[in-house]
Amino acid sequence: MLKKMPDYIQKVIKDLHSESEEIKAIKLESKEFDEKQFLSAELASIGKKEFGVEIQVFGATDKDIYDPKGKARHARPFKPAILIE
Amino acid sequence: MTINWNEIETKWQSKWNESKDFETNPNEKPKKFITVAYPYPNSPQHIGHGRTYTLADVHARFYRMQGYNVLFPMGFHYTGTPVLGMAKRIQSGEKEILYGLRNIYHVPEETIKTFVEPINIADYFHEEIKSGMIEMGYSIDWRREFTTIVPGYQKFIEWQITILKENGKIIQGSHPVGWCPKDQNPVSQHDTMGDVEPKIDDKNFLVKFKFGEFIFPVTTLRPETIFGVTNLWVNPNVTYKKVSVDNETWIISEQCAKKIEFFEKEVKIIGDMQGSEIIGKYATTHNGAEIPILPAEFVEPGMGTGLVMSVPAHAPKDYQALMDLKAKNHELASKIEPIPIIVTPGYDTYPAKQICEKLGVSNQTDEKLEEATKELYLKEFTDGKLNEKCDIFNNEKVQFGRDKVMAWLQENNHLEKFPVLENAPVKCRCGTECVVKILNNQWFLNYGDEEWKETARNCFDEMNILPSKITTEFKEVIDWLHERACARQQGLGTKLPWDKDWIVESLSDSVIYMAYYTMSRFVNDGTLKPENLTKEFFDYVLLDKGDITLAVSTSKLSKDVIGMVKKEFLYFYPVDSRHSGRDLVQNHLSFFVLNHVAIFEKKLWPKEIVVNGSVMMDGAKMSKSMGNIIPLRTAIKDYGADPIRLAIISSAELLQDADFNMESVSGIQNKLEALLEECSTLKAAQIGDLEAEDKWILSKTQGMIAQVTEAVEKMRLREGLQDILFSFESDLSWYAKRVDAKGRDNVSGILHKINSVRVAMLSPFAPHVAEEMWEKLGYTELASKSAWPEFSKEDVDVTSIQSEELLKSTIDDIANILKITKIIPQKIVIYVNSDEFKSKVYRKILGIMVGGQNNMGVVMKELIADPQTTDAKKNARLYPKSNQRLAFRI
Repeated sequence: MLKKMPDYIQKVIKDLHSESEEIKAIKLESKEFDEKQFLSAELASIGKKEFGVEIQVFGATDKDIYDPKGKARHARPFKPAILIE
Repeated sequence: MTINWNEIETKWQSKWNESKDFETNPNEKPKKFITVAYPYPNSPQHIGHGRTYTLADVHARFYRMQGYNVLFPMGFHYTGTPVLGMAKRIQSGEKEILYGLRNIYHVPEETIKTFVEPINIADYFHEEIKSGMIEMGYSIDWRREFTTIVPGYQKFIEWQITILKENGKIIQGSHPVGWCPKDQNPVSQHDTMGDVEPKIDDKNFLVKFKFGEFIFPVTTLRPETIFGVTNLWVNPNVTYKKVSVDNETWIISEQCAKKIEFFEKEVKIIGDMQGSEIIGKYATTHNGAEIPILPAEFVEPGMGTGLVMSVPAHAPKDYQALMDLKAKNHELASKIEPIPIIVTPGYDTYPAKQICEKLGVSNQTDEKLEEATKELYLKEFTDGKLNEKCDIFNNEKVQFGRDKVMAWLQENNHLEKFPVLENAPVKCRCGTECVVKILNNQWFLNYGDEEWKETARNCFDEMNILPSKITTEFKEVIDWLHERACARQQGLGTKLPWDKDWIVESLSDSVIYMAYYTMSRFVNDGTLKPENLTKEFFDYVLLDKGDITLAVSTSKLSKDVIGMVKKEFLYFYPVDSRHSGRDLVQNHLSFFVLNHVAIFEKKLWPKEIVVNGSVMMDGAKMSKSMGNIIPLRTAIKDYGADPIRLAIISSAELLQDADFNMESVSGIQNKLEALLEECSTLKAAQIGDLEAEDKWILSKTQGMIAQVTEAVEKMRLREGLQDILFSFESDLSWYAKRVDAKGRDNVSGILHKINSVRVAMLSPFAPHVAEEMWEKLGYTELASKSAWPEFSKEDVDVTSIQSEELLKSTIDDIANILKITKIIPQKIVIYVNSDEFKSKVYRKILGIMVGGQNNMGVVMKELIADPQTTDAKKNARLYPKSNQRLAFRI
């Protein structure tokens, strides 16, 4: 069971381990939010400014997804998968 | 923007002065009475002195902004020998002192000439220190200032000391004190080099054995073990002295003869006796038993009398020394068997033997003997019982039996007290090594009184002590305290009302003077004259004792005036916070509590003590001889008061020793200059609809308010300052990036709001430059009078915090990938998780890990135990174990 997804669990533990107690508590306290909607709205401007290119945002199970390297399945909550071409 | 620090400091100091902000009278608001140990004006003030005052000033300013009516007063301690000592050292032309005055503190030569008179020294440094305090921006109510030798204060001290005597806290008797043989005066911390409090161990006793016509005295901490003595130890290489002591002749070391001279005895050395001559002979114990005298080189002539009694059943050192002799087939020693007299659970008949064997002690020089001794002494004291060898004391617990045996031996002239200096050597300021003197018919504060101690413990239990870990130190001090000489024959100060030859010493006339601050402004403006301050007046005002007509008739003051003074006292008292350096824990701060509980009713007992560490300079203790002293006023001129305040605060947390260095000062100057510059660009403006990053930075601002407020309340000022000035900076630069990326120009209102919060919170720390910033931000009122920013939960948008974290970490991840792979990106695609089961597991793990659980195994166990996430079993196949790491994840 969970033993079969240790990679995922291990990574989540690692993700959370590196976060402050304060942020963890805030995450637990607040309801989940729509990551896709937020990043779609906010990532473009800062991403363009920082890296000089457009950034596209997909949900990992979107139908029209562009995912030539099959990265989408590695996405974790608060840790999107990234493809750079 | 370069700041002319002194210019802005003068500007704002005169504004505060004009608006009389720090002159505090009773009003309808709640009050805080913040006090700090007043300075001793016997030398100039250096940066180290500034620490306690700066911390207390931040505390006072913080409370003022929180809406309290804050009284923060100051006085000057002229009493006692330090000023006198300084005058003597100058009179004798001591080079180090004169060099310091001339070259470090630049005291004019004409002024130095007047320093032969102690009062001139005090007056000069009083003004010097006061000017430094004003220049540092301390928010002091100067109307209440006094010195401890003005007539009004003396009346107050006469009253205090009379009340203590009436309450039975002052006794006349013979007690040991730290003593300077040259000055012929008792010494305490104020009188010693390096400010060391002489610690007297008065649980040390001298037990007498007979040796023909002579007395062999030995010292011991455990008089009950007299019943287990098997022999005496004498060092064969020491020349002992025959000493006539009152009517007896003692055999003791020369060092011991010197010590007992101060025990009110007639002491005269009349001859020598070699240690080797005595060995092999017999001495007589208190009950007539004959015990042999054996050689032992571990016996030090400087310790005790230079002779030692041997209790091999219970003293590991004695046991081992005996074993060593037996191993050499020493004839007398081989006949000796230990005599056990204490039964202790966990130990067999011969505890010393047992513990030596347990620890593997090899011989009498083995260092493990210290540990063995410590462990066994404590265990036998707490759990042991005396056995049938102890006659009438059979079955007594050691902890009670010891005192009984002691009293019994004393009655029969077999025992005397032999108090020793626990922390020897202690040197008087005059350079002489201090001794223990038994002072006869002297006036003592009876700090040894168990009932008094208990009341003080109650007060400590209920008060707030910062940092809390110092509490145990106070408890130890109270346990250890004993009778303390409270009068001196030299120095400035107040005479004992009933014995005018004596002056109340400096650590006894500085214990409840905070009460005097509540009336000193009336003395200073002439409303109260010294002759008005009668005992009946003080009784009525401070203790609510007697009636007002008696106070009126003796003081010749009107009812109204007396009522007003009493109202003011009751408004400001009790002391809400007392600040002091750590070196005063063992005397001043403890005496402060002891005397309050002895004099005042419970509701007037102090509420809080704040203790801070000292100041080092580039890692070394600041001292004149190190030449690393920076006079406070010089530092203010060179670097500005605010940078110095912040450097002092940011160099250490409360109890740590602060390491001051000039590099940190210039870093702080730059930081403050940048912030001032920023403030001058910001204008208050309407704040429109909030975007994601606005909600986030405003939420973070609330977080900062909460953190800083809590830190300041706990006096963790370094942390608070760090949050205001530095930690928040990274949030602001992220915000700037976001705003910039969106090309927004409508954030001035938000930035103005945020920086108003920062500047307001900076104001207690760096009051002058904060006023300057506040003015630039467009406020017309003073920052020091503005309200402390209040945390508002409604303004915290928790979702904005986590969503912004997501954005930041995503940007960081992309940047990291680019840095490592050195790809020039053509296109970036982000895939956001949309699997609900992954989210569920994530939240479950989050729930487990909040609070610090990082153990993978524990997390797994809890996941398995939860039926919601055990479903993972079925889904597991969707996520085949992959060796393939995410290409660019690191």
